[in-house]
Formats: sequence, C-alpha cells, structure tokens
Amino acid sequence: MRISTAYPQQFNINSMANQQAQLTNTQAKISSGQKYLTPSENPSAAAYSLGFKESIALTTQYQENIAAANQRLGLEETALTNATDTIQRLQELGLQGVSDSGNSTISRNAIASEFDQLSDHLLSLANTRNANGEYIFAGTKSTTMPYSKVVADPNAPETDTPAPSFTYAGSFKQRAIQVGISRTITDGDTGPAVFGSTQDGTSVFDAIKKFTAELKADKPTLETLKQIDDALVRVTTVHASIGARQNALDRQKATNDDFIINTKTALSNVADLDMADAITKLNSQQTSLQAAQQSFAKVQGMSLFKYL
Amino acid sequence: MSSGILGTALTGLMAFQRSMQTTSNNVANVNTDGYSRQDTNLSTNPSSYSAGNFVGNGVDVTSITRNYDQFINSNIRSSASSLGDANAFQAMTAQVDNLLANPESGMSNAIKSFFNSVNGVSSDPTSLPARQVMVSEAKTLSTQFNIVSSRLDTFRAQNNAKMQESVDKINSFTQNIADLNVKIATLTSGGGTQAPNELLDQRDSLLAQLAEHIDVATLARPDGSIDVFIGQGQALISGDARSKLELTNSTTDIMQKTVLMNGYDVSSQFSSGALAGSIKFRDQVLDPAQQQLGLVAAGIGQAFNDIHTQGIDLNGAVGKAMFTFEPEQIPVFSSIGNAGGYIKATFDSATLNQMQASDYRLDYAAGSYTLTRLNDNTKVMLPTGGLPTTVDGINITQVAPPAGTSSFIIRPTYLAARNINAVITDPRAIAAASTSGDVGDNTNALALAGLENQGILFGGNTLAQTYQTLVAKVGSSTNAANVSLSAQKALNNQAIEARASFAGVNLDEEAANLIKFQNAYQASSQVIAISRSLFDSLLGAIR
Repeated sequence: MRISTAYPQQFNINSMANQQAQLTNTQAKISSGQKYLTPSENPSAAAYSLGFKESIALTTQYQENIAAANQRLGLEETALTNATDTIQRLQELGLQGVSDSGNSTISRNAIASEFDQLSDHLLSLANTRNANGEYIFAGTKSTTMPYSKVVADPNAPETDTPAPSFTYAGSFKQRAIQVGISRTITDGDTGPAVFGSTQDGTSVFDAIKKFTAELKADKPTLETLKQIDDALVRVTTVHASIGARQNALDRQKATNDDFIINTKTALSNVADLDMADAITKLNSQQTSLQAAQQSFAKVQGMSLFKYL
Repeated sequence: MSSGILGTALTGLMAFQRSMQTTSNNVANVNTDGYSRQDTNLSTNPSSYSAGNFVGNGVDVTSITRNYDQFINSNIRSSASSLGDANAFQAMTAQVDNLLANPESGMSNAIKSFFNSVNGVSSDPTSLPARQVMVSEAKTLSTQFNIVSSRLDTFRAQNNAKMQESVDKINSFTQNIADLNVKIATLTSGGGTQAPNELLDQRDSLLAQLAEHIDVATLARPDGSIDVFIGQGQALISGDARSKLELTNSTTDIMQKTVLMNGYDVSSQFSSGALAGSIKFRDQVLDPAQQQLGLVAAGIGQAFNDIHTQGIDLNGAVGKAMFTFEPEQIPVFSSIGNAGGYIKATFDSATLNQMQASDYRLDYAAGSYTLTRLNDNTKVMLPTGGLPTTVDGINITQVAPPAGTSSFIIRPTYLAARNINAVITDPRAIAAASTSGDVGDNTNALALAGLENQGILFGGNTLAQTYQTLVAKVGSSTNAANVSLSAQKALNNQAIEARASFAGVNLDEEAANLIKFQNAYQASSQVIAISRSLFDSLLGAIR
C-alpha cells in the first residue's frame, strides 16, 4: 500500500490530540470525583441523579419538619405534665373540702382561695407560648391569646356569686405538619381538646369556678368534683396521644433516615467515580500517549533523501 | 546516423528533465492541501523506416496528469458534509447539555430550594423569617427561569450567526467555483487534451469545503466545468452562473431564520452539512428545550397561583398571584400581512395537565378558524362555534375578528420562562392559611408544598420530572451527537486517508524516482558524449 508523506503526520498529530483530550477528561473526573462530567455521557444516569437529589432534599426538609414538630410536642408535654399535677392537687383539695364535713367555713374558704390560685396557674398554662411567641393551645389562631378570664363589672349590682367566666378565643383547627411524602402529623392540640369547652361551660375552668363557689357557699358537691376528675381524664388522654405522636415521629424520622441513606447510596452508585478504576485508566492513557509521542519522533526521522 | 543518435539522446534529455521537474514539483507540494501527485507520461516517438528496418526515434512527453479518482473525491465531499453537520449540531447541543444539567446553572437547585422554603412556611406559618425566605426563593426561582431562558436565547443568536457564516461561505465558495469553471473551460478547450491540474485541484478542494456547509451533487460538463446541485436537483452552480443563498427572518419571529435561494425557501432541501446541522439543532434541541422549560415555568406559575389565590394571607386578605407572566400570560403574534383581528389566550387551570410544550397556529379563513399544534403538526378540533374554546390547557378567545384571511401564532410555553416574574415582595402577603384566615393556619401552605409531588403537568409528570425529562432528552441528543461526530470524523478521516494514499506525495517514492530519472538523464548525456566521440573518430580517419 502506498502512503503519502504528509497524511500520517497529520493523522498522528490528531490521534495524539485525541489521547490528550481523553487524558484531560479522566483527570477532570478524578479531580471532581464525578463519574460523568456532563449528562450526555449517560443521560439516564443524569436524570436518575437529579431525581435522587430531589428526593434527598425533600426528605431532609421533612426531617426538619419532624424536628420542629417534636420540639412543639415536647413543649406541650411539659405544659400538660404541669397541668396534670395542678389538677391532681385540685382533686386532693376538693376531696378534703367535700369529705371534711366538720370543717369550718374558714378552712373551706382557705381551700377556695387556693383553688382560685390554681385556676389562675392552669389558665397561664393554657396560654403557654412557644419560642416563636405562638400560643400553643390556640389552634391555628396562634397569635391570639386563647383563654381569658372575664371578670364581671365591679360596678354592676352585686350578685351572690360575682365569679369570673371564661372565654376561648383560639381556633378549633390544629395545623398538620408534613413529615413524609404522604404523612402529616398535628403538631399540637387546641385548647378545647385539652381543657374542655368554655362555650358549653364544661371546661376545667368552669368546673373549678363552680366548685369554688360551692366551697364559698359551704356546700361543695361530689358531682362538681367529678367534673374536675373528667378534666384530668381529658388532659391525660391528650398527654397519651402526644406520646403516641412522638413515637410516630421517631419512627418516621428513622424511616426518612433510612430513605436518605439508601438514596444517597443509589446516587453514589450512579454519580460517583470509581477512583481506582479512573486512576488505572489515567495511567494507561498516559502510557499510550507517551508511546505515541516516542514512535512519532522516531518515524518522522526516516527519509530516503537522507541517503542521497 | 550519428545525427540520429544525437537526436534520440536529446529527446531522452528533454523527457527526463521534464520528469525531474514534475518530481521536484511533487516534492515541493508535499504539504500542500488538496494537491494531487502528478506523473509525467512518456511514450516512444514513431520510428522511421530505414533500410528495411524500423529505427526508434526516442521518447516524447505526452502529458502531465494528476492522480485523480472521482469516487474518492465524491466520498470526501459526502463525508465532509456529514462531518460538518455533526460538528455544528454537537457543538451547540453540548452547550445546552452543560447549561441544563449543571446544578448551578440549571433549574433543579432553584426548584428544590423554592419548595424547601414553601415547606418551611408550612411548618411555621407565623414566622416572618420563614416567609421572607419563601419570598426571596420565589424571586430566585423566577430569575433563574429568566437566566436559563436568556442563555437559550444566546445559543439561538450563536446558532443564527453560524447559519449566517455558513451562508456567507457557501456564497463565496460558489462564486469561486463558478470563476474556476470559466478558467478551466477556456484552458481545456484552448489546449486540447492538456488539463490545468492546479485549477482542477483548487476546484476540488473548494468543492470539499463547500460540502462541509451544504451537501451537494456534481455533474461534469464536457468542457471541463462542473455543475453543482443541492437537494432534489436545484442548481447551485451551473457553468459560470451560480445562485446566491440568503438568510431571512420568518414572518412571525425575527429570531427564526429561513434559507432562501432565488427567493424560495430551501431550508428543508439539504440533509447534511453545517447549515443542516444548525437547523437540526434549532428544530430538534433548542426549540423543544425552550418549550419544555417554558412548560415547567408555566406549570409552576399557574398551579402555584391557583392555590395561592384560594388562601388568606397574614393581613387577612385573599392571596394574590405569586407569579405573573409579563407582558401577557400567553403571547399571541399576528403574522405579517394579517387583516387585523385580535386574539387573546390564557392558561386554563382546570386542564393545566393537558398543556403541551408546543406553539399553535390559528388560521382564519372564510369566517372560520382552524388550529394546528406545531410540535406534531396536528389539527386540533375546535368546537362548532369556533372561538372561544379551551384546548390543551389554554383558553383562546377572539377579542376582535380579522377582516380577512389571517394567521396567529399562539405561544403558551415558548416564552413562559423568559416572562415569568415573582411579584410578591411582602412576606405577610403569602397566603399560608385556608379561608379560616387564622395566622397559625398552614392548610394552604401545605397544599402549595404538596405541588412538588403532584403530577400536575402533561403525562402526569411532576414539575421536577418534567425538568428531568428535558435534561435527559438533551443529554441523549448530545450523546447521540457525540457518537455520530466521532463516527463521522472516522469516516472523513478514512476518505482523506484514501485520497492521501492515492493522490498524496510520498517523499521516498519521489527520491527513488529522482534517482531513476537522474540515471536516465546521465545515460542520455553519455550517449551524446559517445556520439561526439564517434563523430571525432570519423573526422580523425580522414585527416
């Protein structure tokens, strides 16, 4: 076969340039740690890795939501523990007031005044605010103070029992937080769910108010005390549901963690460079480039004109 | 008799001198592109009859010919066309590929961050910082759409510039080839069988360069000139005449270019070459990418607005649109030459998932409308009453009827990424609450955050999936372009190698030839010396 003198030179230069390009490409992959520098190298892997990254970011956001919900439920739990203690003390005092038939009006009045104070304490618990300044028992109207004591007008004509009445200004709706792709969890409970309804007069505050009035009138009834017992049942029920929700959050968090780790592994399989493989490749590309350069230099020196 | 020897030796001297001259020309052109190795063809002179014998009369130079093979040269041209095509297509497609897939320059990070911020508001709806983040992320998202769209516009301008460059080069090559045709025809008809080798080489290499930009077929004429055709046989060069190509704007979009020859659109008449590669890039990669990107922008904007305007913000007001499309939701362009008429189009929220990444052409003739979807050139059925109508997720209404035959281009997605803008700047104006209007209510924010996982777009795809489809599509186009480019390079190299091995100069061969001709030249000289000594000895005999 006859060959031209000029063509092989161009061909060799092209092929050396080619090898250099491959070497640079491998080097860029090693320095970036990526298996593919552009999606065109493997379009389906590129689409997968975008999808994986998307899922990881979303699930990481859910983990943040879980942390926020956990923190809020924790705060509510503290408030409810406190409320439970308070109501138990009320029960104790109430039983004393009812059973102690020989007791004087004076000691019943003393119990009544402690009842007043405990009622105020319970009211302040019902108006607990979180770090953001939101009222945790106001439902979705979280910037409105939910419970207030309406003291009757002092100038109004005196009645037998000028006791305060209570109002609830919060909402009856509780917000749900997204903690998984198709899972939401309520991050608290509304006041009525915990403390009973002020509208129907069945709230713990109304019960306390009624019992206090009975104490002051020196005829406390077990029937009214029973309403305070009911209030405790309501609080402990909600308390238990908080525990259940916290467990659910923990499980969801573990599920999300697993998902993130699995997806990261999958992403790594698709997108991360096999270093050993790449370095081996770099070495062999380097060797073949050197060989091409050396042989080029040797062949270029050959010409019959040298011998003329 | 001695004059016979002298004469014969002289023809040898002349022939070998000419041969060495050709060899030295070959050596001198060893590195000249497009040069075809030349041979000096020798033949014996007619012998003369003398004393019953035919006596030879030496050698004659019949011609100097170039080593030319029509098949090899047409192979070079067709492979140059395919390579030019693959080169133009790959260079542009790779740029789009890099733009879209890069997490920094593409859309995926902006979409992710935006929905993260919406999630942030949903888990903490009263927090002004969380709302501020969402307001900023919405702006970042719309700006990122604008940036990616303007990068695509830059690619379009680049591609148009490349098309212009191709057209200019084609025009200059065809002019030069037509000029050479004239010279070659003159020399060939004047000089008989002797061909002007250098001019032929020049024309061949011009044809190969022309073929890089546009695929051509050639037909040789008896006078040595050559006719050049494109497509189905439209003559680009006919003897000394050539047709000029022109690039003009389309009637609806000045960024859309059309190739004209003698006033006729020939854009679809060539199948390879750089010009075809540029057109293919525009039609198969750039336009679909811009449409699909716009589909994501339109989808996010419209779906988000629909939910946002159902909620209540922190001020107790009904939510406003978070995104707008300026200057109008769906641009409608009147074609040049329309007889008035005014058509309006808007997104249809209820059928958003039927919206396609396509332009539409609305034609008006004889009092009725026809609608064509341009991505697949399909007629879309209009109801019997004509307009207004809702098709493919868009509402089309007639504000004023045209006075006569008219045509409108409706572009729901093409400009959406360029036109999208986040307009809410007040963090309190984010409508996180449902109709309750409670400040801590996150119902609406949850619905907004939920958009991320819903198949709200065409084919039941989510926003992110629609974008990923775009990345994957451009990625596989680039992949195919890379493969085809290296294949075409190899084919073109093979053609060039075939030509080089047939027509290229080999210095060793020339050195050997030089020795051969030198020896022959020296031998002929020796014959002259001998003939002189013969003559001398004759003179000496009679002295």
